[in-house]
Amino acid sequence: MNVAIIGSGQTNHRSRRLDVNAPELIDEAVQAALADARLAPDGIDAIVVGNMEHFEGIHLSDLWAGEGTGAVGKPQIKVATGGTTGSSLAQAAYYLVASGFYRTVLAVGWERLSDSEGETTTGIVTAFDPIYERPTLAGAVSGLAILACQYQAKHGTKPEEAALVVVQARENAAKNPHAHLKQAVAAADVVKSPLLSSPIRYLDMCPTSDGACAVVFTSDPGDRRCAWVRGVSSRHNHTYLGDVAEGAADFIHTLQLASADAYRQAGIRDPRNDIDVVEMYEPCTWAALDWAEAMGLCGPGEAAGLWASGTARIDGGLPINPSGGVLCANPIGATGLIRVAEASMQVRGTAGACQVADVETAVATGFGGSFWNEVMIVGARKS
Amino acid sequence: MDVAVEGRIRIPYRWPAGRAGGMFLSLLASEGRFVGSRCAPCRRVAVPPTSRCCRCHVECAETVPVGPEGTIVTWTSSPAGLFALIRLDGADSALLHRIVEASEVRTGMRVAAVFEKERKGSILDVAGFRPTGGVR
Amino acid sequence: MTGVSILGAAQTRHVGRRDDANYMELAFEVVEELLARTGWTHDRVGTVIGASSDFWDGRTISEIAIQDAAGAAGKSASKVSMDGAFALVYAAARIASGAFQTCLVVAHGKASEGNPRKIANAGFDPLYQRPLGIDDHAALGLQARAFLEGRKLSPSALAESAAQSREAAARNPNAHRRETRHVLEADPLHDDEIAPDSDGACAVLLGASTFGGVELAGFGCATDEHALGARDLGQAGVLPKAAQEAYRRAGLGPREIDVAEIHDASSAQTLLWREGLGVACPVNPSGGAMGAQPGFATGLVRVLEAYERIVRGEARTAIAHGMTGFVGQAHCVWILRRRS
Repeated sequence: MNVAIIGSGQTNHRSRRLDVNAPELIDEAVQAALADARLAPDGIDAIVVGNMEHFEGIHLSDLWAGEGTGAVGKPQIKVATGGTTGSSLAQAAYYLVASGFYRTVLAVGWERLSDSEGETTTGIVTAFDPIYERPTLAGAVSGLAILACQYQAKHGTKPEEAALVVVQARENAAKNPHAHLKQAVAAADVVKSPLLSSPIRYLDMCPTSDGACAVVFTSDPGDRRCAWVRGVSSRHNHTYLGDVAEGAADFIHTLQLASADAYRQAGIRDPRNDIDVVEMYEPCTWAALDWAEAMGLCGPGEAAGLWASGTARIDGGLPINPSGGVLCANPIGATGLIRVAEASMQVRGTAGACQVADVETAVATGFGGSFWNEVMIVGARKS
Repeated sequence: MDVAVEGRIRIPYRWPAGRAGGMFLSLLASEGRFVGSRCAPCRRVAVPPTSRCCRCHVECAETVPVGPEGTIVTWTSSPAGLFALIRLDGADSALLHRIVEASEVRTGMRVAAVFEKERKGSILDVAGFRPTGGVR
Repeated sequence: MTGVSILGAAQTRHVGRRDDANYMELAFEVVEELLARTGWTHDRVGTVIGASSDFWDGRTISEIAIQDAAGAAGKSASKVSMDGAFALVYAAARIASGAFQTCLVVAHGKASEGNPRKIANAGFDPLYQRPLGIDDHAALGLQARAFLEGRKLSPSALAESAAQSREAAARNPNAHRRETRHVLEADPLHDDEIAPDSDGACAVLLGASTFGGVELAGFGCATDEHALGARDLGQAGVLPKAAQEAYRRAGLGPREIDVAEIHDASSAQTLLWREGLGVACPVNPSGGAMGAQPGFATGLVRVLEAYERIVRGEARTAIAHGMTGFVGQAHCVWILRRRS
């Protein structure tokens, strides 16, 4: 069954939304999505929600959120998978519609990282195995630091080159009303910013944000402008941090595998040329480089060139993160869903000042703290 | 040999009460009184108030004073405490709280809030509800 | 009709403490048992859906530790952060979409690793209810009283129901053997009228109906208001709505159900949810959740128990009911049917 995205909504992501509680925050995104989809609340048949309980310290947060998601009286399923929560939500919504079980499904992700004193870190530390890893190298940055070290060692990429990713992201975000960090940065600022976990510096890393996102999936779009789902894939690895090391005997590059699977479903043979825009879940600049290669957007060691040459610009040959990406807004339960929303906006022509010209095919990725990688491809045509 | 490692998750949190909740808790703190929200289509009065009615999906624009007394709808005594669901006068939903200063508790008993002297804008600004001697 | 069937199921014995295994080992145990029983291997399983709770596991993305046990490495997999019955909906959808032919669902609960009452407290409305120290047992007490008084029943109705659950559980080799003293725990509920906190796991293999197996004829889910006090806890809430959707999808009526496995966190819920489902058949031959309550695996165990009744020829149709939220804030009803 063909599944289309017919609308999306987001809050304006910020460090702290102290003026609203979680259901009210969610309500903002949901109302915007319903309006964009031209749907009344009773047009939604089922809801999938995502939110990481430890980040806000609220167990069964999905049940509390029902006031904002419109769940009362309806089916609502919670899918929470860490950083991939948002992309996992999109996948769940897709399968629930593609199965024929429900005609129209609303996917809603949110996070309020300002609710906890340590923001992401305190919650995410608990993701690590309590016996072997929690006492030592736990935290959002650790696995990414391993990845970045490996990339730097393999290709000799300089920090100034990686920094161009966030320089471009901020330039794009300045055009995006929903983005959290919009202030311009220069590569020189990035390489002087405080070191988090070498080689990752403060400005190389994504923020934590309060925000929500909602996306409407349906098998019955009527005459609405659609972004049709063309490929859906996910791959998982990493039970322990050692699994991230490329030298490990059973190392799997999960994004490479997930991309290959999704491309096959969507009929993409030449990613660099068949894809018109990428909304990549890049939690740090170095990851963007490694993953652009894993996605087949360029050859090994060439990723820095995508940004240095201007290819990744909104008006470039392969725009990457025209929205500003995760580097400019990261409400974790929503972030992966925002990638899908932004990709669908590019296809539907509703991306405003961030709009890339002539988009037929857009790819959205999701990444989570288990080196889970998820890919969703949306296109202007049904097949 | 079964080996176990002990741990504890200690994370302080701060949850904004939001628009409707902020109003409810502010009035509780500053004026020692309760309000609910009324949904225009279904006329239901929710206590504590909500910004949007869960059933009708419309914003609740109307704020309605409720209480100060109420009726016990159901109660329980457990190791966690002596709790009751109390329908404040004028409300349709019931408020969860503790029962205090009671030698016995029954469904239908009339109760009134016991307020703390120092209030901060929390449900704990109410120490509990005590029986007033009436039954409904 | 979903086009999806159950090809096999396995559960651990449910006990008060599994100090010999962490939760990933529980999952591994039950998945190995499932594969042994069905003769399937990981490479022939298309996708995996887990059901787990970060709070109960004391670990953010606790599902990370399950993937190896469930054979998910290198596969497209996901999870549902609700009772296992809800995970089954997502699992069945993955197959019904045509994207996968088979799906492994695994759920676990290991309450012994944490403080269950404190964890449960974190599941109540954070602004108005949690600060009061309410926990799941107290909430069940509020519900049980509302139920008895609403129907003008005496508390002996709860004792009788609990006795039936105990007798059934005594015949179930996997049920949680526990000591109770029949003392008031959350008035009017006694300790033996509240479901235990169990360590255990359950795994179910789903496949396209072309593989055979027991048919997943229909399902229905519905969500209620979260806060205690939003509705009359002594009524079945949105359960009849969830059940109606299941009956409609299955093309069956409640009187055609031969047996029902209900997720009953208290003896009041055994009676209340049976009423909400509208069935007239025997309920909880396994003992239900009253016999063993391994966290989010509880609803999946209901699916397993319903499946086994059909496989053994004891029933042609069965309901398996799962719940998330201590007093029924979300319900999921499955109807299973023997293939003719």
